[in-house]
Amino acid sequence: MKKVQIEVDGIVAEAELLEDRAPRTTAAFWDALPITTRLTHTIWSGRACGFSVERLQSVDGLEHGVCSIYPGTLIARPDAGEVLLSYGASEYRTVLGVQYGTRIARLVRNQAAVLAVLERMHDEGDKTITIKRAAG
Amino acid sequence: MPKRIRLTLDGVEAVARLNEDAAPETVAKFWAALPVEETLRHVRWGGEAGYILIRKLADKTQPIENRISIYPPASIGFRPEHGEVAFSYGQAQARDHVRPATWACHLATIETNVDAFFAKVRATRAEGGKPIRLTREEGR
Amino acid sequence: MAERSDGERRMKSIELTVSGTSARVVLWDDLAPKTVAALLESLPLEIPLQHCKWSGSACFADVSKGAIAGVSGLESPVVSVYPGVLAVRPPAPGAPGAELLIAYGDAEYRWPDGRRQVTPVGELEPGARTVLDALAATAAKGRTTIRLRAAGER
Repeated sequence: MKKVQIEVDGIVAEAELLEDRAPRTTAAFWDALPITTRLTHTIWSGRACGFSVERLQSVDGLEHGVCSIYPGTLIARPDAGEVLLSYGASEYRTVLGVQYGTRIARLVRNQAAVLAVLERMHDEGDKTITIKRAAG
Repeated sequence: MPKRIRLTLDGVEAVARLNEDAAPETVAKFWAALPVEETLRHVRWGGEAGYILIRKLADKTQPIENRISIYPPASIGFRPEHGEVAFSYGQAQARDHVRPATWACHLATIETNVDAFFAKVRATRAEGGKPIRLTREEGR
Repeated sequence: MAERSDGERRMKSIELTVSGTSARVVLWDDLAPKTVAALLESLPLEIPLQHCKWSGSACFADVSKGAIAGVSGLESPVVSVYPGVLAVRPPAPGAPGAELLIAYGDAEYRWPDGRRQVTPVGELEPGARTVLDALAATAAKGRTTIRLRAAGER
């Protein structure tokens, strides 16, 4: 199972890609790595932060759909080229209301520390996120 | 003469008119709670708005006067169950985790220095929380 | 979601058996402390399990008798129930009784009048394919039995 390293504010966590559930979306995400980009708190989806991955726009449609984003879960909305990572209560929403995204990864190492950084963004504003393919 | 409040957000001042005729009880309680100093943060569920919580105004039993769900731009909305005061700069709605849409009181409308004030509100998303002070605008 | 592989936290788990297949369920007592406590208090459980009508690829069991029915309110409410996740719908005004749900595929908790929320309480350990298949089989084969019992701490 492919894994990625996620770094925010010097805290590094690891996530595993949910390739069996979303082969096309995770492949597009993997192909886009490494990325370093702005991480911004969501304004509609609750306790989650998001970043852009333009390569995802090559994926047509959702491979499966979830609206609830469990803490430590990354979901992708390919048409928007967007990924959200939740640190608490979160549901994928826009101005139009509840929407759906594809789960692409889940944190498996150092989750608490990196989610604590995301939680601080409500007070501290934008940060930078770096995602790389994990070795091995 | 309608009641007005002065807002000072990270050094930017604005004045808002309270909707006293449409929300007499809510305005009375809000007026009594002033002055208030809090940190204004960007909302996480409601869209293009910032918010503060005035805990002493939280009252789950308080009826919502002058009800709105969509916050008009330049409006100040109030949700009594949390004591939440929302300052809308664009597309925004009273929402939370459990309720994708709910009611709030249209408490006030900002009348002066609107662009500069809401530029500060908008900036909280990227820059984080900012100090805000609300005071009675008396005798002006 | 409780961390699984750091070894930093001891996590409670229970054993789940459906149609002769078994797996462990790691419990999320950080997300749902009251509901997980009620679930543990209600063990062992051996109850009918049947496929959901409105909620997609999931099965449900009635747990209206016992400690879970005494839980008031949702914890960490969600609508989507991810594959392998165990969730609880506690009693609520207009929605008496209590239900246990477990998803084997794409699932969203719904009633005839639309989407509703549940409390996620845990998930099947990785590799529980036979249990997921047993759950899926209820769509064609009908009602079965689910057994839940304490499995100690990991």
